[in-house]
Amino acid sequence: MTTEISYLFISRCSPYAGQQARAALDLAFTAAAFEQKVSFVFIDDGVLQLLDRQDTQASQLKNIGKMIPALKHYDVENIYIHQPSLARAGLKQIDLPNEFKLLDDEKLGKLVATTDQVMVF
Amino acid sequence: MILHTVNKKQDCLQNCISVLGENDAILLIEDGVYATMAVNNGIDIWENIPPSTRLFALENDLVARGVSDKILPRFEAITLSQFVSLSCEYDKVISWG
Amino acid sequence: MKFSIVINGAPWSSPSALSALQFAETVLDSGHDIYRLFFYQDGVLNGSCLCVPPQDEEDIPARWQALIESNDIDAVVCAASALKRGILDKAEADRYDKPGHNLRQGFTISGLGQLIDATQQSDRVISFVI
Repeated sequence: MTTEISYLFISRCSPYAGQQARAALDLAFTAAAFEQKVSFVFIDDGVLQLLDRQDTQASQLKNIGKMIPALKHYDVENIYIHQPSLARAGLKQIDLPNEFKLLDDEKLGKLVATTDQVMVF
Repeated sequence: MILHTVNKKQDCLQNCISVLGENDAILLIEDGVYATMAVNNGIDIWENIPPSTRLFALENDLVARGVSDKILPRFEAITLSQFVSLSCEYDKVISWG
Repeated sequence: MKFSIVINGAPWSSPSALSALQFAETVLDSGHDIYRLFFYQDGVLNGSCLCVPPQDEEDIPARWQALIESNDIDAVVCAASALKRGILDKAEADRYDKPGHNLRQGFTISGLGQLIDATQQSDRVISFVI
C-alpha cells in the first residue's frame, strides 16, 4: 500500500565534507521514484553544492554538482534555495539553475510546517 | 506543532530557530545541550525566542556534560521517556543535527 | 503509536547511535511499537557482528541485536551504504566474491525504498543524525 505523503529534504552540508549531500540526493530520488510529492531545499553550506563548475576529475571525488540536475529528471517537484544562505556563503553572483526557486526564512518555515515528513542532511 | 531536536550548538541550531513556528518546541540533545547555558559567544541566542516556545534539554546529556546546574531557567530538563511522550504529542519531529 | 527510527551515525564515532538506541529502547518500554529501524550512511556500521569494544564501553551493536531479536523488530541496513562500507550478508559476499560476511543476526540488507515505506507506515519517524 502506498499512501501519498509530502517530503521535504533539507540539504545543509557542502558537497565534499562527507556523505550528507549524497545521502539527501539519493533519498530524494528514491522518494520521487515512489511517486511522492517531494521538495528539496539547499540551505547553509548546502548552497555550495550549486556551484556550477565543479570538476572532480583530478580530486577523484564523486561529482555532486553533476547529480543535482537529476532532481528535475526524477520529478522532484519543487527545488528551493534558501536565499539568506546564498548571501552568507558569498554567492550573490552565482548562476542559479533555472527552475530553482529562492525562498526566505518565512517561506521555509511555512514549507517545514506544511510538509508531512521533513529530513535534514 | 513541531518538535525540533538539535544535537550541536552552532549552525544547526540557528537553522532550526530561523524556521520556528508559533507552537513549536526545541529539544536539545547530545552536544546541543551546551546551548542551554546562558550565553554562547557573548550572545544570548534565546533572547528573541518567544516565551510561548517550549525549550527542553535531555537530562542524561546535561548531566553527562556537567551543565545541569548552569542551564537557563527557561529550559526544562526531560528524561528519555518524556522525549518519547513529546514525540507523540507533537505532530512531527525534525532532527536538525 | 508506531515509530520508525533512522540511525545515521556509526557506533562510537558520535553519540548519535547510542542516542538512537536508548530512544528505541524507551519507545518500547513506553508501550509503543517500532515498525522499522533503518540504518543509513555510517549508521550501517551498527550492523557489524565483528565489533569488539573495550569492556568499559557499551557494546552498541550487541544491544541493537538484543532489542531487535527480543521484540521481533524489522531492522534494515541500507544496501548502498552497507556494501561500500564492507557490511555484507552471506548472499552479498557470495555475489561479490568476498572472503567473509559480517552482518549481525536480526539485521537485513535492503534498499532506500524501505525508508520511504517506513515513513508511510509509521505514525512518527525519528532521525538521529550525526
